Amino acid sequence: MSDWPLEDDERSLETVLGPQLVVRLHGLLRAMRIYELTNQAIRDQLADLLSLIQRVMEGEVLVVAMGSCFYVNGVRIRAHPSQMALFENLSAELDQRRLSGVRLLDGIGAEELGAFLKLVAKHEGAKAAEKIAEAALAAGIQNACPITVEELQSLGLQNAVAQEPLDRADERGRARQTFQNAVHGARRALLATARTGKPALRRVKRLIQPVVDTMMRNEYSIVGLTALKDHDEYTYVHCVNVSILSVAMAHALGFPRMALANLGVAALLHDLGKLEIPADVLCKPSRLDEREWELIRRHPLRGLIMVSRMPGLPSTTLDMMRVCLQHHRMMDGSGYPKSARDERPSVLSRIVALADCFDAMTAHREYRSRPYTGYEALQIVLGSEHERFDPAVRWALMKSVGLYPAGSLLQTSSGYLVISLGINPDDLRRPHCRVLARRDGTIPPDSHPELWEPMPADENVVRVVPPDEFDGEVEQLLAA
Amino acid sequence: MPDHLSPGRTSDSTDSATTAAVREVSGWVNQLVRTLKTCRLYDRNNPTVVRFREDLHRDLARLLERSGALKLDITSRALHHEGAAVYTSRTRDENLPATLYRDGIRALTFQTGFEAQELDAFLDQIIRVTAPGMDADDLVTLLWEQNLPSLVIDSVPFEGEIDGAGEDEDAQTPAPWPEQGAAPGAGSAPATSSGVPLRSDDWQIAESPIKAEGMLDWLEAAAGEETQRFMAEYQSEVHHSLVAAVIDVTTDALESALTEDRAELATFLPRVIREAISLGEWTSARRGLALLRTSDPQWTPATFFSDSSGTDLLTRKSVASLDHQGDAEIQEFLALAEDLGADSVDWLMHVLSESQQKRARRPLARTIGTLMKSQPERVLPWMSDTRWYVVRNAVHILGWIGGDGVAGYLRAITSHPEMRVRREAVAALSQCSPAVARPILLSMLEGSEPRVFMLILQQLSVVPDGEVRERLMALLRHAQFHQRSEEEQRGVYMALAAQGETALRELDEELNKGGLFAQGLDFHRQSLALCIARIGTPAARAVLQRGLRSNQAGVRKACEMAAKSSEATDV
Repeated sequence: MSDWPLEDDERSLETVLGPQLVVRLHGLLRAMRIYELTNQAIRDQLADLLSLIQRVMEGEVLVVAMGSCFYVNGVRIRAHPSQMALFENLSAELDQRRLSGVRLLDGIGAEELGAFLKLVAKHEGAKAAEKIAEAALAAGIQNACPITVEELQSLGLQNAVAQEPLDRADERGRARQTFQNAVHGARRALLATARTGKPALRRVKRLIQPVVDTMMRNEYSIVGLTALKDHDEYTYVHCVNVSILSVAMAHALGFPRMALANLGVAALLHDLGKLEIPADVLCKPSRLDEREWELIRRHPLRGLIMVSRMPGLPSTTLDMMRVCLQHHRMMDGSGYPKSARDERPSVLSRIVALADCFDAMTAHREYRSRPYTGYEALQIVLGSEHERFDPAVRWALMKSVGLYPAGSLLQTSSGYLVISLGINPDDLRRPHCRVLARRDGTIPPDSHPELWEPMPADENVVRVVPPDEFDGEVEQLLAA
Repeated sequence: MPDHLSPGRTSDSTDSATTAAVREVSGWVNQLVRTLKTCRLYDRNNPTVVRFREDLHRDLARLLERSGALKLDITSRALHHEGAAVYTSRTRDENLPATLYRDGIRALTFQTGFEAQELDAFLDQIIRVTAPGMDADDLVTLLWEQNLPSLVIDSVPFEGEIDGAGEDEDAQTPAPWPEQGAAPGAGSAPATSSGVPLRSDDWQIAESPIKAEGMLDWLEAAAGEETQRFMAEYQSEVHHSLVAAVIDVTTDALESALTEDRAELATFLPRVIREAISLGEWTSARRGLALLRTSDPQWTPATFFSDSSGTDLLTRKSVASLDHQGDAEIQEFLALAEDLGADSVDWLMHVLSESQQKRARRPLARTIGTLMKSQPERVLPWMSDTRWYVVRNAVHILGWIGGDGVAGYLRAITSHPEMRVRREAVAALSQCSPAVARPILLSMLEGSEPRVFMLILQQLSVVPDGEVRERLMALLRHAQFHQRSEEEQRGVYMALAAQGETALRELDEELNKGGLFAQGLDFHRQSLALCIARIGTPAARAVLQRGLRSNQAGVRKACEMAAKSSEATDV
């Protein structure tokens, strides 16, 4: 059993460690103006701050201010009312230096930290950020650097309630933003989970809300984004994809809003148990041997155990436990882990199972020359594998990704070559498309793409073109 | 702080209409704060709370109707409308701006058509996040979950895009999955020659594709029925007890668990059991307990009840459930008590003390008695409780345990100031042997209330005894015997009758030698004669026969009545 610090969970960062860290930072910056690093009080405070930093270290510690709001490792810190003035002061100090925060890397010691903070305290004004960075470099400070205002992407305010989409371009832009936020957030949430051993549930809930809102507005562009495979961030993207697909499928089935949210959370965390699998097994490019499979087969149970560590017993816990345990258990009794009582998986687990399988099939594998396309994956899960999945869920998948999922290359009855951009909910056989080649052979310019939103009623798909027959990069076309 | 939200600064226009609008909003916001305070002080159904909420909604509706949507900008100390501060927090305890700001909310817009139930939900969530000890989600999540279509919330994100820095040549490739405790970047996935990281599969599937178009036709045709079936299954799952479902999935998990997994799941089960008990789901609690004992044979309920504040809450919730349940559920609770065993006795005593339902208390007391049978001394701390009914419960349990071993404990309680406790002690003494109970009962006779007096007499009548007989005769001969109630006097006579022939000689003396009879008290002659008749032996009948021939009219009459009564009984 791993030995995780039970008290250092997400809530602890948000309400205890985070505020303490900000308060210490503020105190040190002020003190550094007056005292030298050799002062005992300064050294004691540095030791305190370092201790806090080490408790929240996730490879690096990012302390960022946005307005009077502070984030530590992406978690917004909840200040006690008595601390708000202090938070505002520190924010003003940073703002005055055109800084948004500081980045502290794993391995930083008290001397280096003190030297860095001394530089921050010393330099003021609009050019302070540059000077601090230069001075730090000159002093050989490697594990600390300032974050400038320019570096930080400016964030607008988010509305939790939907507005009517003006057009599909806006919808796609919103979907992209929601997707990116979800991937970043998933990364942070899973890193926090890895550190504490408990799911970072509150964080994940906030990630899922915009996804659910998107689905409730019947905006399906976000589902199309699941076809983009970010290789570097595969794991986090996969979690988000499974979550988006699951929510889309459940929405197609008529699930209510809260149920969509709970499912989205459970789906995002369905592979929690893999946190305990050694990387060399998880990353093994070739097929797994029996011992390695045994480790893999344990991840559903280990995921359930991680969920069981969460406080309280809300309905979310039950959904997460079921999904973690059952998402590899099939309707025909195959899969793992086996159920001694031969029970069918819960309805949420059936949804996540198909979403997981579908997304996993389209990932890169060494033993395949190329990943399956969405269409090919559909053919398999609806074909030879169809008995493993609930028919209602298969239907829901179709309703979510369409007959020709995003990225499918299609030849139409009149001779056009198009790429599917995403589902047309009114006609699953005629998706939204981008024309790649007209029937006369001409190619629409990239600067003025020709879009069918959706494919016209007088067009039919006569053939799905394998990517091998196409010269271009499908993912680049999708991402454009 | 944004310039347009500087405190005290009004909008550019000094138009009086704008100032009036700001004043109106300020009035409503202050009303909101007062409403929140009232809601915290009183129960939801309190008429004052109901009125406050209704007034708040009514005034909001008027405001929205007049001016359209109402937007409030939020800083850490104040709420602003159109650039002017409409509310500034005055105390740390009632700091609505800080509550909203702390959870990331920067603006709230109340749109026209704002329903009363939306306002109620809004108020309830604010109260929830400010309640002490609550571990609720942040307000953005809570309000989102309420799905308030007329409320627009502008918030800062939970996750900031804080790693959007520029290209960093030294950046390590992110790990495909973070290892616990390891830094990101460790254990990078091997890559193909094209640089694309590769990974293993956790799915084993047969790769035999079919034409998807054909399957779509089939699915479209079956969609309605299959979706209906699926949603019916979902509803069934949702309406199933949460705790029972958690136990189901935990049972499922344990079936494939290794030893270390079992140990870890065992630490989860007490929480589930506690939740089941809180909800009054005794069957689920029993299942959880059985599962826990299988997973961790060393576990005992002693630790389960060691947290006193948690146990108090558990007690209250258990009683609230138990007192509204039927016999079947009560039996299930008793079965749970037995499953928990002797370690749960203190908690069960608390439940017994709090329960208002006799049909639950009585069998529970007996169950506790069964659990305490080998250790009756465990009930002693409860016998010094300041609540008389708790003491009575304890005495009742001692009676249920029975045996001469409890007599000593019962003796100590015979002088309890509460009559109902003493009465219970007398009843409990019936479970001790007469020889052991007798001295205690005799010591209680003097000064007892009539009901207790009668009960003691009944107990003493079980087995004839010389000391009892002497004591009864002493009572009978006491100068103030006739001042006792008829019921008490009758009780003494019946108790004497129960002494049998051993009392006959003294009764005969009383009948024939004067004493009470000489004083002309017919009731007493008659009672004495009836007493003799009740003895019923040939010697007793002979005494009555002699009495029938007495030269004292009162004696003759009393014996006649007794003889007739005796004949009627014989018939």
